[in-house]
Amino acid sequence: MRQFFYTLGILVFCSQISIVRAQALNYKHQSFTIPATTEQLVIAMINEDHLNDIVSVTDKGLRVYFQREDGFNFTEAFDEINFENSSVGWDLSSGFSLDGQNSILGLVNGTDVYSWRAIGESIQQPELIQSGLSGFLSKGINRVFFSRDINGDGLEDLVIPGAGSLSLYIASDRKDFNSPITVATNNRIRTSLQTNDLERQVGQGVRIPLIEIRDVNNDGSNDLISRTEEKLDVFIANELNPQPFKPSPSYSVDITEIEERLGEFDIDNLDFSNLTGVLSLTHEELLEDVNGDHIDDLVLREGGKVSLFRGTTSGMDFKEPAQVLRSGGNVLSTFLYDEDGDGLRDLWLWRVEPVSVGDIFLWLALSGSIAVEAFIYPNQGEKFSRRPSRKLTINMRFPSVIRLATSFQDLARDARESQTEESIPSKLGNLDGKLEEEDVLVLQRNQVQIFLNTIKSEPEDSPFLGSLNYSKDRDEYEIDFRKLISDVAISRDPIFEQVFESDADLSIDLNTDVTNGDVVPALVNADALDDIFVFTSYDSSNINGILLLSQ
Amino acid sequence: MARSRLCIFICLLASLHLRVISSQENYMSYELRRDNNWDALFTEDMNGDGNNDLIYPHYDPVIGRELWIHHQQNDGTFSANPQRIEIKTEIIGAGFADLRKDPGKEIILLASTGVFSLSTAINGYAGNLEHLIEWNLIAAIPDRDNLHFLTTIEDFNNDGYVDLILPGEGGYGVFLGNRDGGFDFNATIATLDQNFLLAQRNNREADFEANIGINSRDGIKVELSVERPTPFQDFVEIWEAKSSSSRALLRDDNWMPSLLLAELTGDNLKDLIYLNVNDEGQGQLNIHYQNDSGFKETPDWQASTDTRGTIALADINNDGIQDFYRLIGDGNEWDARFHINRNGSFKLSEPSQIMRFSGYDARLNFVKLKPDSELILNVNSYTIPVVDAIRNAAIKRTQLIYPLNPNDSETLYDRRPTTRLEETFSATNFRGLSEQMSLRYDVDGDGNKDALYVTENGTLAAKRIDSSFQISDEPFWEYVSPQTVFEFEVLPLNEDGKPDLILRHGVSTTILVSSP
Repeated sequence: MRQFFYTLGILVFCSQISIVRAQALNYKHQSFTIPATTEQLVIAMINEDHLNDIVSVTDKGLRVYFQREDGFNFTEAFDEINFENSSVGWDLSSGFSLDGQNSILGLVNGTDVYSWRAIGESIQQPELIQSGLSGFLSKGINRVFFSRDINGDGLEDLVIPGAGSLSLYIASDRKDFNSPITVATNNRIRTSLQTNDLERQVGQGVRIPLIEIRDVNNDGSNDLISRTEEKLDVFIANELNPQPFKPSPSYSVDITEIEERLGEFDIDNLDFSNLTGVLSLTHEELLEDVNGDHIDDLVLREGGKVSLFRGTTSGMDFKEPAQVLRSGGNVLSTFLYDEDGDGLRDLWLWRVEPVSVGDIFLWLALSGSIAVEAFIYPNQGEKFSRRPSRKLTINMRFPSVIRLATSFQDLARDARESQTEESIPSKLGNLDGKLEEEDVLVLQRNQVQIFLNTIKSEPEDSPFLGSLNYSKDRDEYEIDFRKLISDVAISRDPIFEQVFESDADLSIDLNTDVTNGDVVPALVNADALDDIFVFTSYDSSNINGILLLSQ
Repeated sequence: MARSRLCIFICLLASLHLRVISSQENYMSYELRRDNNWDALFTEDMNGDGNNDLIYPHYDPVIGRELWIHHQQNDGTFSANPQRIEIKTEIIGAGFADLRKDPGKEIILLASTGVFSLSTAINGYAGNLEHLIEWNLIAAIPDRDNLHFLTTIEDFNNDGYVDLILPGEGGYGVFLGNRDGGFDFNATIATLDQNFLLAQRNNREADFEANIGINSRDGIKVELSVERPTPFQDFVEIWEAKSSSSRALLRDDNWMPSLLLAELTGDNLKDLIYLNVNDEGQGQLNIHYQNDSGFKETPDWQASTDTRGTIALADINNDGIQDFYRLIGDGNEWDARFHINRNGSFKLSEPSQIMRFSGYDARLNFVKLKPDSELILNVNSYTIPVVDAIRNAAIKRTQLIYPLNPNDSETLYDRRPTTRLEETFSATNFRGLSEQMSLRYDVDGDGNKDALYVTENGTLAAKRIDSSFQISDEPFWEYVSPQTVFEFEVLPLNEDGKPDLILRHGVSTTILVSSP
């Protein structure tokens, strides 16, 4: 009996701690109504008061809601930039003011860059930063991350997108730029101007990747790496030169030539008893440090042939490879990872077993398996060992193609059916400052319900081969698709699933009817705790909500 | 007896072989090899000689983009060296239309803010390029190595001048051709819901995704995930001072529902139809009727519809105007709902007929087998009988034909097919699976559609379809090419009235021009 009261006492004490912690959470309610044409809210410091403001983005321009010491006044404390041009890319940067204050930048029609500063709650007239550029921009108002410090000299440079290329304007002073250098990029552009299908769409989708910027030759300056389908170009920076990059690359790998060497895929010459033999036409170019001198070397895989070229401070020694390894079988991929913990990256070479046309026909109706093997060639300092020191085998077991297709369809249908009008919005946030465990926010019954420290935070770095549960002591692994699929449960939102049987630590009455609402935690005010955007309703004119600012 | 049978058999084989050979001798064959065999290939008469030429985009990293034209000669061959037309960096798209008085078609060039014409009879752009229309195209960024095409440019108001429908920033611009070779603006048709953001917020449909990948961190990773959109997902962003490689420079999507021209009212004027999403996030079918003055900017008819499955237009009841059908599949079971056009509108909640099919990858085709005959519904699908799969590792391809009941007002098509053709494919004859059998083409020009298919040897063959819709057992025509055929098309490439063919192989294309 004494034991019972003792346990009860501990339980009561624990629940009291939770209540006390929840009671410590206090929010200031600020109602807002913003135009329905608002596409996004960006939280950033815009004026000089070191408080985060809210930039609302519409199809016509930007509106900045300025934060005051006591929060926001959404009806009065804002100013706007209305762009009159058809193509504007906007960005934020602290590099164009002497005091490090953020400016709103606009790349107008791909040709002119302007900067807008805010003083108090007023946005000033724009200042021309650079004109006469020759870029291409999508129509409308888009976020374009065109202002960056590329060479690491503390000055913001301009990266202007073109047709399959980027023009880099390296700053020599705060607003003076060198003549541009052009770097090829692998733009992903999907364009469709016409279709004869009722269900298809017409338009353009654009993804312009930023070139890779890092120190390739260990001289302390950022270099440029540009990868396209035709070439891998590396521009090594000379930091002593006001124009740190030469117009042509310091060295290149001609991918077109590699592909010509490997040959063209021709189904008439395909070996139908080994369809995976087509992997002999694939190639990879890994630019990484192999010998530990912090200068990137080149590991070039062409089919089953792996060549190592030595990187130098001024470029790459292409005269002859430092090593050539040849692997039989169907090589799927290679990567570098330090397997033995000696600080040097080892070569992992992945092979897949032959798959025939007959196998595929059989797998249509019957379950099957494919073995994927990883051969590890230890790094011996200057070269990789000529023979692998270890082999991992991953046996991928799968049900018949029919079963697989049916299972996916069932899961997709379950997912669709589980998402109803009555779905309860739930999000993860950090409301109490305890970063090891995440808090759950749920919007239901016209309340924001808070469940503190409910889910353990995911580590930022996932363990190596974590999905296989990799261990240095084990060489045989299995991925069982049938089990993976049967383990998928699509009954409810997985975040809500964690708390739906628990009592909330704190329920905040919104005192308004919530229709098709949503809840979004975000750091808005100066404390390190998430504030909460609660969207209570929306229609074709307005978005209504309440901002809960942590106090 | 056995010997004489063998003799007859050999004779039959020989005669069949001779037929095949003689078929091949009736064509001029041209093999086109290019860097990407699966890029667009157009056949247009660019020099006005009555013979269609071959046109395709070409890219060279040094020279840039070009259009290459192989002109067809009078003997059915094509010029070995193409005419090369430079495509300037600013050009995003192209099309072909006869706009100028010179014989042949011109190239229509689409830039982000304007439309131009360029004659291939004049070298270069100077003194050649003509500005046609100022128009903000929906696509603004040119592709460095690709050119995109307007594939159907036509005179849709029947006044003898080519008209244009151009996808633009706020909708499609309808431009009517005039006698001066220019265009008059007629209407803007906005296919995107005016409250697009509202519709997007109202769209709560969840999606299931499966991915498998290999990388240096995860090795082989299988990811199964459910995307559950909420109204304000990704709406709030915290700005962070940029790290050197954290983000893409630009991500942008600018899309709108397609706008189709279709005969919907029986007045010989094509109307406009599109499918979009209304404010409530539901599918909506919209029609703009064409009248003597063109089109109104607001829809003349609209109704909400379920958008699950495949939605398409087709003349289902053989009245010459387009009807509407929806094919909803759940792997092995398919449900086709036919909605007959009633004076330019549809009862979308009440299908005129529902038909059910089984099999994988079911596809519907409504075909007229003869110019004056009734329609048939042709259904292709695949089945995988488990016993066959275990015994022979084989799958079955099924062709079904359902004739239209012209006199039955209740049932458009019978419940049971009049024709059922089953073919079995395994590892030994899988090449025949590269393309489904097609009943759309008349390969020998006798006015009757044939059943055209890729044989198990990868050649192209045709079987006859008799008056009771039975497909013959043996082919009457076969074209044996050294490379496997993956796609085929029968079309006229000159004015001789005989069908010509385009056969796509893995790395090349064969053009067969019929010769006398």
